[in-house]
Amino acid sequence: MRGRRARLALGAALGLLTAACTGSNGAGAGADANAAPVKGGTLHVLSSIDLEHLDPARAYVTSTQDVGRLVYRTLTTFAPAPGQAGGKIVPDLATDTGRPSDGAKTWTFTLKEGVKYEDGRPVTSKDVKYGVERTFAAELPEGPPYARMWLAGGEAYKGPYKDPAGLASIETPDDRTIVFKLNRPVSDFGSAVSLPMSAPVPQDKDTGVGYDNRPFSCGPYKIEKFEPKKQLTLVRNTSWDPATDTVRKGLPDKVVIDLNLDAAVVDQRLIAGQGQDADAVALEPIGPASVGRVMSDPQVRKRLVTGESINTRFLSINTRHAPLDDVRVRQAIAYALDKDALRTTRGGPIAGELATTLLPPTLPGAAPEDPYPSQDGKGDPTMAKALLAQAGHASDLVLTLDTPATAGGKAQGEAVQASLARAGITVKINEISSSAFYSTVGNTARQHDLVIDGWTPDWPGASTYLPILFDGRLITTEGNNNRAQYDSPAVDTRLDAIAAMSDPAAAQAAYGELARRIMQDAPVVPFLWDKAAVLVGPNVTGAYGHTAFVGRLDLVSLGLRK
Amino acid sequence: MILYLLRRLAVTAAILVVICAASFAIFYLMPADPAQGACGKACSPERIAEIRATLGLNRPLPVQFWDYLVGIVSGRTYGTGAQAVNCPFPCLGFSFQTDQPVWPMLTSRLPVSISIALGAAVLWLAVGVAAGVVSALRRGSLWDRAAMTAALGGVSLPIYFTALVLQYLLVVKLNVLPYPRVVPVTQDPAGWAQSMVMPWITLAMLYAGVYARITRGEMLDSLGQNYVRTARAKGLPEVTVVRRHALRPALMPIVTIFGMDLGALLGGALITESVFGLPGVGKLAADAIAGADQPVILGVTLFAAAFVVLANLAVDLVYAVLDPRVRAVG
Amino acid sequence: MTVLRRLLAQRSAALALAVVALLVLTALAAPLITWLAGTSPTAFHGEAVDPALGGLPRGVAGGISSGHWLGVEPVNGRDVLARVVYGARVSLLIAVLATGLSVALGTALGLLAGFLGGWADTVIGRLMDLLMSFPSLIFMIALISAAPGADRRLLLVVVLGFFGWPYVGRIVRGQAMVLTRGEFVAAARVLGASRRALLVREVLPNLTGPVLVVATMSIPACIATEAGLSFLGVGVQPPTPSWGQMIATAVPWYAADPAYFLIPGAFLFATVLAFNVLGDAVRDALDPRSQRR
Repeated sequence: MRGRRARLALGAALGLLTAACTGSNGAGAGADANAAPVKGGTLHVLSSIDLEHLDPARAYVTSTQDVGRLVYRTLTTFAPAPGQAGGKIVPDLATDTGRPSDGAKTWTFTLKEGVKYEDGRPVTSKDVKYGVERTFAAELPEGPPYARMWLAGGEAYKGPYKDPAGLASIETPDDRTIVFKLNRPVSDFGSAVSLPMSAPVPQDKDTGVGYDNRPFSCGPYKIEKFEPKKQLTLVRNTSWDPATDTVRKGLPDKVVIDLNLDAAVVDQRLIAGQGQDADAVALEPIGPASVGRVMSDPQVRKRLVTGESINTRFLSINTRHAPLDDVRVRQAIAYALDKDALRTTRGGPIAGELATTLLPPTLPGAAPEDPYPSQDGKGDPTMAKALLAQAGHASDLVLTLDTPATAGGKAQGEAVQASLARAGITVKINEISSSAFYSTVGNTARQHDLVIDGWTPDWPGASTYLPILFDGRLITTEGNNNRAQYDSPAVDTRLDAIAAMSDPAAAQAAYGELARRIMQDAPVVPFLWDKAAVLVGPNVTGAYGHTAFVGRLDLVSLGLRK
Repeated sequence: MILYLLRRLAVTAAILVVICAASFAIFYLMPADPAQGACGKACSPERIAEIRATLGLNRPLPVQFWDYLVGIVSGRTYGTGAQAVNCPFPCLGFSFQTDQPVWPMLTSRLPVSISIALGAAVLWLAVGVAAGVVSALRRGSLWDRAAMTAALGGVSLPIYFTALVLQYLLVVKLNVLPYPRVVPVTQDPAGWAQSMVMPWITLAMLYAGVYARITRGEMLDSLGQNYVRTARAKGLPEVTVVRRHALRPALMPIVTIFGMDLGALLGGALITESVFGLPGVGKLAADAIAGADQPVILGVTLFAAAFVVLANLAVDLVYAVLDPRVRAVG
Repeated sequence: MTVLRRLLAQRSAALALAVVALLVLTALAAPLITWLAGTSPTAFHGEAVDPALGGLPRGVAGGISSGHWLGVEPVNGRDVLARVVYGARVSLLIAVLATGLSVALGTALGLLAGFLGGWADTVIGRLMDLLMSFPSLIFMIALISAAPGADRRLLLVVVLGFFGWPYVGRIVRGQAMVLTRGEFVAAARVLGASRRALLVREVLPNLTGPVLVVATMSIPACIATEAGLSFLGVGVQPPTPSWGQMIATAVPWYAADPAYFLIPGAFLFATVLAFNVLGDAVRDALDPRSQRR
C-alpha cells in the first residue's frame, strides 16, 4: 500500500490531479457506445508520470499495475468493469479465486491450461512460486508486504538469490497446482494474489534488478522496447490465447506509452485530439487548469471519462507533538479545515466528493456521518476557535506542515495554511523535495506536525487500510505509515479481534464501526474521496475508469474504432 | 602552434578536473543525503545502509572523488554480487532512482538540446548580427533606434514569459503550430522544424538582442578606426570597406561570446525545455533537481560545464589560427 | 551631479528612472496599497473562483473587478495586485542586496588582482574564468535545493551575489590595471604616496564610474535570475509572493487564464527593461565616448 498511496500523493504533488464528474458512475462515458471497436491499430497512452517498477515483485504503484496487467497475468485479478463492479476479484491464471482450507490458513489454486509465455512455453505453478519468492528478496524492494507477512516461515526467508532452495510453505505438487501455507487465517488471501506479486516469473529469465526493464510476458502484449522515463512500446504476444483470458480484450496490435510528458501538454494534446492523438488516452486525470476548458466545450466534455476510486485523502495530525496530543486541538483543526478549498486545488468537484469519514462510501462497511460538520465543507472557524480556547491555545498555536516541493504540494499547503489561519492557527510550510518526501514524513524524528496524506486499500475492504494506518504497535522510526502516530490500545485490541473474524461481512461492519470510533479522536482529517476524470481521444473506445486503479482507465479494455 | 595547442589542452583538462572537484565536493558535502535520495519511497534503514555501501558513500571523500574520476575514464561497477550494476565508460555516475547510468541518460537527450541550440543559434546570429551591422552603418537613423529599442526589449524579456506568450498566441489563439513534442529530425524534418519553431524564437529573441547590441558597438568602434578611414580614403568600394575592414574585426569578440553561449545552450536550455516540456538535457536537469537525484544533477553540471570549457577552447584555437599574436602570448 | 543632469537629459533614461522610482515606491508602500484596495497577498477568496471549472476566476480577464483591480489567482482567489506589489518587494530587495554583495566581492577581489598583479592576479583571474564557465543556473538550483530549512531569501542573495561577482571583478581588475599603470598614479608614486593611499585616493574614486555601470546592469540580471529560480521552484517559500513564482504557477493555466501570467510577466518585463535602459544611460552619461547615439 505504501507504493499505492505514494503514487497517489505524488500525483497530487506533481499537479496531476484526480477528478471526476459528480454523480457519474464512470461507465464508458467518452466513447460512442454504438461504435464497435476493431482489432488492430496502435493505441497511444500519454503519461505525465514515469512507470515506477515493471518488475511484478516491485510493482506497487497503481499506474504501473494498470500497465502491468497488459503484460503479465496474476492468479486472480479485478473484474474489467466500471464502478464498484470493478472491485470484484475474478480468476485470471487460476481457474477460480482460490480454495481456502484449514480455517483459511491454506489456500490452493489450480492454473488454467494453455496459458503460455511469449516464447510459447507453458506457465507453470513453479514459476508462480518463484515469482512470489522474489518478493522476499531485499534486492527487489518496494513491493507489497503480504507474502512476507503471511506465508509460514516467511520471516526467515531471504528470497531466491540468497536462499535458492525456495520457501517450503509454497507447494507445487504438480505443474498446475500451487498451495500456500499461511501463518494465520487470511480470509481475503484470494484478493491479495490479485497483486502483481503473484505473476509467474520463469527462473531462467530472471535477470535480478534488471528484470525491471524487461519482464517476461504471459499476457496479450510483450515489451518491444522500454526506455525508462521516455517510452514503453508493447507489441502483441502471439502466444497469448484469448480463450484462456476472460479479462483482457487485447484489441490494439500495439500500445505505445509515452512517459514523463508535461502534464499540461498531455491535457492540451488530448483536448485538441488531432492526428495521432485521436488514438490516444491519458494515463493520469486532467489537471485543474484544464477543467475549465474541458467543461466548457461539449465536444471535449464528451471525451472525459470519469471513474470512482477507493482512495481517501486526509490531513494527518501528529498526535505525539504537544499540544496536538490534546484531542480538542485536533478536533479544532478538523473543524477549521476548508475541505472545499483543498478540493479546488485538485480541480474542484470533479476531483471527488468532500470526505467526512475515514472509509469512502465505495468501501464495504462505510456508513455516512459527519462528526465535524461545516457549511459546504468550508470549515467552521468559530467552532474551532471555541475548542482552541477551551484547550488554552486560542492564539498561540504555530504548526509546521510538510509538503512536497511541487506546484500541487504548494497549492494544498497554502490552502491548509489559509484555512487554519481563520481559526488563529499559524501554519508554516516545510517544502521537501518530492523524492525525499515519503522517507522524511515516514521518519518519526523528522516529520513535523501536519502532513497531507492519503490511502488506497489494495482491494476493496478496510483490511488493508485501518490496520496499517492506525495500529499503534506498527509505528516505526523509519518507513512509518501511521503518520498521526496514533496509538490507542483499545483500537489495537479491536483490530486484532476483527482480524480474527472468519465472517468477511461481520468484519467489514466491525471495521466501519471502528473507523467511526477513530474519527472521534481526530488523528486525521479526511477531506476528499477521490474520483478521476481522464481524457480519451475521439477514436478510442471501451474507456471506463477502474476503481482498482484509482479511477484511471482500465487499459486492458481499450480499443480503437478504426 | 602544436605547443600552444598542447598547453591549451592541458589547461582545459585542469579546469575540468577543478570543476569536477568543486561540484563533487559541493554535492557530497551537502546536508541532503544522496543515499536518501537514491532510496526512494519504500526506504528502510537497512536499504539506506546498503545503498550507502553500494555508492561507496561510507568511504573518505577523496577516495570517492578518485573513484569518480577513474569511473569517467574507464567505467566502474557499483556494488557486488547479484546487485552489482555496471556503469560503463564514461561513467558520470549512476542514478539509483531510475536504475540507469547517467551518461546514456544524457546522450539520449542530447539530440533535443542540440536541435534547440543550433536552430536558435542560426536564427539569432542571422537576425542579431545583421541588425547590429545595419544599425551601426545607419547610426542615429529611425531604423537604428527602432532596432536598438527592440534589442533592449528582447534582452529584458524573461525566457519563460516569451515562451508562454508565443505558446498562447501561436498554439491556442491562432492555432498555427502544434503543441511542442519530440519529433526526430530523421523521421519527419518538417514536423521537427514545426515543433522547434517556438523554442527557437524564444531563445533567439533574447540572444538576438544581445548580439545586435554587441555587433553595433563593435562595428562603431572599428568604423571609427584609422585603417577604415584609410581604406575609405584609398577609394575602396564601401561594401569592401565594411566587409573587410569594419565587420571582420568586429566579429572577433562576437565569435568569443557565441562560442560560450552555444556551449552553454548545448548543455541544456533549462527553462526553455521546461516550459515547452521538451525532454532535453535541461529538462533532465530540472527533473533531477525536483527529484533530488544527485548523481544526475552532478552529471549534468559536469556535462554542461564541459561544453562551455570546450567551447572556450575551440574559440581560443580559432583565434590562434586567425591571429598569430595570440599564440605567442597565450 | 553632472552625471544626473546628463542622465535626465535623455528622455528614455528619465522615463526609466521614473519607472524605477515608481517601482521602489510601490514596493515600499505595498501595505498601504493593499490597505487602500482592501486586499491582502495571502487571503483566499473562494467566492472569486469557480470550482466547477477547476477554480478558474469568475468574470473577465482573470477576474478583474472593483474588489480585485488586477484580478485573482485561479484556485485560491488571492488578489493579484496585492501579490504583485508584495512580490516587487521581494524581487527588488533580493536583487539590490545580491548586487551589493557581488559589487563588494568583485571590487575587493578585482582590485586585489589588478593592483597586485602577478600571482594574486593569476589565481583570482582563473577563479573568475572558472566561475563564469560554470553552468551557474543548474548550480544555483542545486545549491539552494540542497540547503533545506535555511531562509530562502538570504540564500538567494548569497548565491546570486556569489555567482555575480566575477562580472564586476573582471571590469574592476581591468580598470585597476589601467589605472595603476596610468600616468597620474605613476606621478603619485613618484611623489612618494604609499600603496594604501594610492588605492584609496587615486584608484578607488576612478573606479566608481565603471562599478556604478556594472551595478546598474547587475540589478536587472539579478531580478531576472531570481524570478527564473522562483520559476524553477527554488525561489522564496510560499506564501511569500514573487513574480517568478507567480508565472511558474501560471504555466499550466496559460491557455485557460492568460491574464494570470501576463500581469506578473508584464511587471517583470517592465522592471528589467527600465533597469536596462537606465544601465545604458548611466554608462553613456559616465563615459561620453561610449555614447553612440
